[in-house]
Amino acid sequence: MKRNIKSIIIISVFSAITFSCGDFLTEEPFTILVPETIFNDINGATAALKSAYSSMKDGNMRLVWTMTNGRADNVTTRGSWAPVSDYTKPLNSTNITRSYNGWNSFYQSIGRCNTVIDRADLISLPESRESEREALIAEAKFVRAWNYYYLVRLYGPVPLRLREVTSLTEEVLNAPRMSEAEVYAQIESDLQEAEQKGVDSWGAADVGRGSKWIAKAMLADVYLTQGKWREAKEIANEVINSAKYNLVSVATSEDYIQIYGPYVVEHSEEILSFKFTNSVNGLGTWEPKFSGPSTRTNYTTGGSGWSGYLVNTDCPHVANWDDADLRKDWTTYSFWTDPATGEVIDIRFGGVWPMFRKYRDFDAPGWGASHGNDLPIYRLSDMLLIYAEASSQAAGGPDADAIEKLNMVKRRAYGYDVATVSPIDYPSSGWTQQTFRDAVLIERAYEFMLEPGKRWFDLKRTNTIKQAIEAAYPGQTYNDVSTFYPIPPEEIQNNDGMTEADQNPGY
Amino acid sequence: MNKINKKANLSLLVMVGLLFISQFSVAQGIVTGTVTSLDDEAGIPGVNVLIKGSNSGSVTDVDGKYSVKVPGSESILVFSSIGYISQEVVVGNRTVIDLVLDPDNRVLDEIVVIGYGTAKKSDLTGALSSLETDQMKNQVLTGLAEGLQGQAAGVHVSQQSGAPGRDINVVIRGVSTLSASSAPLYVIDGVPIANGLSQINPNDISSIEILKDASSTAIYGSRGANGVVLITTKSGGGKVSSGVDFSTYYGVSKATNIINMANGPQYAEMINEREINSGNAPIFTQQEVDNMPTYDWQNIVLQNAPVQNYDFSTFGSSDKTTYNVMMNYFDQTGIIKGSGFSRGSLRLNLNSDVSNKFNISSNMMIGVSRRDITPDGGQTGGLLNAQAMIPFMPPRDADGEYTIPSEFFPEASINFPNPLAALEQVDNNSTSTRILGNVSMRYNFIEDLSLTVLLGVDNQTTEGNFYDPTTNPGSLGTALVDKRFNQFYTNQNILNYKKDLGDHNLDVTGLFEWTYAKTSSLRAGGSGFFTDALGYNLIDLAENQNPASTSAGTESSIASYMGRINYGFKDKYLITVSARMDGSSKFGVDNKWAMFPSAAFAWRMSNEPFIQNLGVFSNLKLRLSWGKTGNQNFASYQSLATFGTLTSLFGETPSVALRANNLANNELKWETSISTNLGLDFGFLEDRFMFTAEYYSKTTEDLLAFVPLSPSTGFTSIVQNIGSIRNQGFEFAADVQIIEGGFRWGVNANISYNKNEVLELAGGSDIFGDALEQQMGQMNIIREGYPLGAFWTFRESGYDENGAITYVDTNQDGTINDADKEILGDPGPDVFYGITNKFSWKGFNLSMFLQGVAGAQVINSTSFFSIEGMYRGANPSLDYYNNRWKKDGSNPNPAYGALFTSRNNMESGSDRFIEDASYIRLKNIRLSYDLPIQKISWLRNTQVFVSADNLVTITDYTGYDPEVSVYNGGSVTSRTRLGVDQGAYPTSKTYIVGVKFGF
Repeated sequence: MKRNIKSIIIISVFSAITFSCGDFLTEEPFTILVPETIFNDINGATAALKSAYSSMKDGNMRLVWTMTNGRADNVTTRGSWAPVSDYTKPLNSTNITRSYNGWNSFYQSIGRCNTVIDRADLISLPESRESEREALIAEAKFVRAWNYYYLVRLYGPVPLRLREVTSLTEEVLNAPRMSEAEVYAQIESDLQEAEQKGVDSWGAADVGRGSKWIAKAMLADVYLTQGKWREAKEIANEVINSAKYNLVSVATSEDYIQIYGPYVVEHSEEILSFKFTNSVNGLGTWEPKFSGPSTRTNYTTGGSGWSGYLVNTDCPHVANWDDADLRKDWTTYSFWTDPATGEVIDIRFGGVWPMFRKYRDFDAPGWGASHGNDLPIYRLSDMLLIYAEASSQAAGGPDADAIEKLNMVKRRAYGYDVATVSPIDYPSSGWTQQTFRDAVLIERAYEFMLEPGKRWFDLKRTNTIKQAIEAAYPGQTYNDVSTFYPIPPEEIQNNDGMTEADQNPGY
Repeated sequence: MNKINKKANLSLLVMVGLLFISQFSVAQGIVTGTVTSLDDEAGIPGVNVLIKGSNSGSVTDVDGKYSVKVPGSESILVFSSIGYISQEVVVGNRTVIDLVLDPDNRVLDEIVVIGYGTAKKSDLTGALSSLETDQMKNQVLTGLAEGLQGQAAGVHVSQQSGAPGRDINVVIRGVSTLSASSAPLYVIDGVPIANGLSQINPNDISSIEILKDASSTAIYGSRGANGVVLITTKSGGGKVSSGVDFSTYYGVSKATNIINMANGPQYAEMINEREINSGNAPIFTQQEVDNMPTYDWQNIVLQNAPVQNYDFSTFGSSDKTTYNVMMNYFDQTGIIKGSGFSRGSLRLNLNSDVSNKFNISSNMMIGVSRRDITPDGGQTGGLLNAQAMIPFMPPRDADGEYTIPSEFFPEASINFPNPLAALEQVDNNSTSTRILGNVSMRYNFIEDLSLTVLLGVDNQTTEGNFYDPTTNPGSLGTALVDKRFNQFYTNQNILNYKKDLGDHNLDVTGLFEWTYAKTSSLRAGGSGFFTDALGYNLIDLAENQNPASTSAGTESSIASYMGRINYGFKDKYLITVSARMDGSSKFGVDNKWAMFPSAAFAWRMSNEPFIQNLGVFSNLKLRLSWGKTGNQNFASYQSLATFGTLTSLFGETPSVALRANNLANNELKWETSISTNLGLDFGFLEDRFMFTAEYYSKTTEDLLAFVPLSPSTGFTSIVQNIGSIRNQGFEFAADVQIIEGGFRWGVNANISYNKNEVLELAGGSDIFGDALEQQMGQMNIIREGYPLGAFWTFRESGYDENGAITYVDTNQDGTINDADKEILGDPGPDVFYGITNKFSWKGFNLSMFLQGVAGAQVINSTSFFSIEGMYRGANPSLDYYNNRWKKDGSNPNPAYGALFTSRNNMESGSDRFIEDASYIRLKNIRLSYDLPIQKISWLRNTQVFVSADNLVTITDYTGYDPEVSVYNGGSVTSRTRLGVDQGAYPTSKTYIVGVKFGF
């Protein structure tokens, strides 16, 4: 009997001592990832940074691309996108929501970058691999800069979040809008670090991640946007002369498949593209869905493309588009020939508006996020045109080098050798600074049609939105409300640094 | 320790006490005899046989036999035992006195389980409902919780679904949380269980106590806020030294209700009208319309379903040991084809007094249950799908192949599948195996002081299997296997000191307890099977590993100290004070520990001379209590910053990326409820009439809520403790014997009123419910000043010139949008009640159990086809056919809009869907007869019975069943969709016949 009592006293005393101590109540999640585990090694930290790219091309962000492409003068919109092409009044609620969701995705990506930047110290690395830590931080700063660059151009002054949010401190709760100049200063500083410490290039499995050269290319664009001509020219030239990139040659319009086709992994003029595939459900793009129906196999029964984008033939440079420009046939179309019957069908929307087919994937397994076409962000042609414009702007007019860079882009588009004088070359003289810039902008409009936001941002940075829109949309008077997207009310309500007055005009 | 043993022990104690104070004892003769019980004619052990006016006497043995020395023939023997009405017998010149004791159904001094101990019912200070488990055992119960319905005041039980084996929603004194669970804590034989009750055989239960107020539940601290249900299983000790019980029943279930749909010709006529209204030519000629066949699709998917149950137990006791072995098999086929539930369970309850100081007991159960699952709610696969079907389409074509609606009649634009194909072809089942039990050791240092150590376990493995074969039209063969492992362990160490010092009664309990819970799960699947032969058993055969494999798991732990003092003075003034310290792993690092105190006072006024002098009350007790409880029944890891995975793509190579799920909150803590309770117990005529009235108010603060953040933080919300909800109510319970004697009539009734109000939300902002099916939109809202999940929608104003429904522009801004929605009802019942009538006469017993709710509304989303105007070909109901809007104006008062081929933009949820869900239901009626078998020595008793569940339901509700509501569970998403009938599996009527034998 004494043993009985001993046994139960032992159990209860043991239990009281063992299980009331702190460790018993500490949560050690064995199935859930916590920062302490992730940032212990470089692979975990890298995986954490990869998610920042996911936000850059998630569903919300893709809708922002579609909206911003639709804002351009050469693209008109229909269906739920129709209000995007109405510049006389604020967006409707559907597109306002798209703007809100886009804001959230930009900052989600920024938050993920900040986490990596702030926790990179925790990564345990041997001395010999110390540069990997620097490169990872550089890459995170590139991604952060990319997000701010789009934010500042779409929403104007925005809060600058540069630290990981771990608790609701005063600094976190109070984040006012910073001036555009302050935002640009941050973008430049992040990109400068990225172009110095970033990785030189990636292997096939990592193509699409930020590198030294991508940061340089973007920096050229950022300088150009701010009118820092000399800096833009220099760094664009550095990229051009790196010999890392060559324009893809085309002989027929179909050859553009080497750049825009669904199975392209990386092409020779690619600096940065967002990567998509049709082989894994959910990792594709839905960009072709916004274009015409025959961007998939069959015009008549191939399902229902939304035809969200239409070619705005009222836009002067679209109306004047030379049929010999191979980009025109690759990018747009009005007639479709049924391969089975040979019948030619007029597929212009309402018999008027041609459709886009720049991104097309006949093998896509479905209509959702299932197309393999990558989304180009920077190509070599961009650097050539930035160089041409910046050089001319800096010097008060183009020199032969600037004209040659502009010609290179045009020659390729007409199927000529890029390095050889061709019949369609621009004149070698007679330019003013302004006429040359106008020519570059038109060349950019053809070259980058439907490449995310390019034309709209060109109109913005050159302060030509109003004239371009009113020329392309007869009968519309441009309203400044269209210049920026609305900020989510959740931001204004829950950010002590903002008041209702911080909402963009018109919303 | 089990209840009957307690009774025996208490008797023993009383006996010993009486002997102790005995002054003299004169032996003059010996009287022997057997004391038996009126209800089962078995001997009653432990009956006190006292000589009146003395302190001497005896006690009956296990067979009810006694032997007592009496001083003389004038002596009066007093026979008393807890649970029986005492009797006095003059000895006379008899030497053998056999006696039959009447069971006392209204004993005040019953011992009840109160959590970490027991108490005399008369000593209770808090609000506790002690359930009669007999009534619940009359019903066909797949789950124990269902049996609680209508049995106790303040306990609202509703079914999410009538599907056999589905979990039941139990809410005690109102829902008081936004995102944590609202389910009470279930404690079986002292072990707080982690999972549902479906493996537990209702017949294993001997008693259920429900702790409702904070003074009773505060001893369970951070788990007490939703109330506590204490379940005690049957032990072997009792009136019979050993025996074998066998009972079985067989029955059949059928649907309680069918919705009248349009028949073939009516449907065809409406399709023509739809085309004409849309400017098209009619599809059918009049002759075709008239000759359309009709298939009753509801009856095609429904069936009359058998139910059977077998209970076997063998039990007994020796001097030191009692045992009870219980076995059960239950099998119920569902009324929707393909559904069903079965359960097998095995239990051993053992209790042994190893010595007079050391006791060992154990309650162990192994249970297996299997559920065959059909779609529950939603418009594909279930009854809604059947309603929508083209009534002239047969289920199979001439070749025996399933018909496909979109191919059979493409002009209808119908996008529903053939419901029969899925029900007959898809194999979807879930099997759970559970080990639940405890081992406990008690040592009495001295008579009054004991230490009990209990070790408890509740482990459950659940295998979910799904296979959609290629024979189901449109399926490529899809398999999904989902395995879940739940482990739960607990250890309680209870030190108890009980002392009766004349006027002063003291009962002190100290506790240290820990619990540890772990879950893990593994899910894998595939699609594209070239053969259906092996189904989900060999997913390697799948072409695609899609859905992808996932695994998950959680751990949580609680450590607790608890102290409780019960003090009684002169049996008049009773005080309970308790405090519990809980530390929980789920809380933030800055808030790991919490204190939950309580205090209660009761005044037994009926023991005061001035009340006794009134001669009115046989019992009068006033109770007052206050206490603080918590709710930590939410997911683990919410206070931590956790990361999840997603797939990123670079080059052409997918790889794993990691993203932050949420922000850390180091201050995260339990939700706290502060409750007060005022109760009055009163009884008349020696407690033949007993009543209890309660008033309570429970305010819950620090609600766990998703508080919105500025999205530029990278997060849209954080979990914080913000907000409060109040539940206030009255409860009234009565237990009366209207007629006693040979013919008996007893009534047991309870009624409850609860008012739920959201007092405060984060930032005062509304929480909107998730959108309902189709164009119904959001119809629930959580808003300050209103009940939780109130119904928020448009009011209809009539029909426009095209027969489209129009809505009231409340703010008169010229557009109809969310700003025009109004709060037009709420899902919580204002009043719910249960009434049981019991009649008995010469072995016949009849019981009738009525149960109902009043002042509840339900969103009848099952009728949403009726606002679609058949644009996608769904059959909208016969009522629609008869009362629809007509283009020719021939129906001046339409109840439904026009038929049209395209969706009308303004179709939306509206007040038409909010229906009164009050009902009164004859939940169970049962007639039994105890055969007179006294002459058969090997048979203790035999009973035959017939019973019916859900025989009659009186309601204005137009759906299948007013009680059923798909989204009623514990999650925050379901809480923002309360009270929505979205085509849930309906309840059924069940008729059974059965027989019971005792050997």
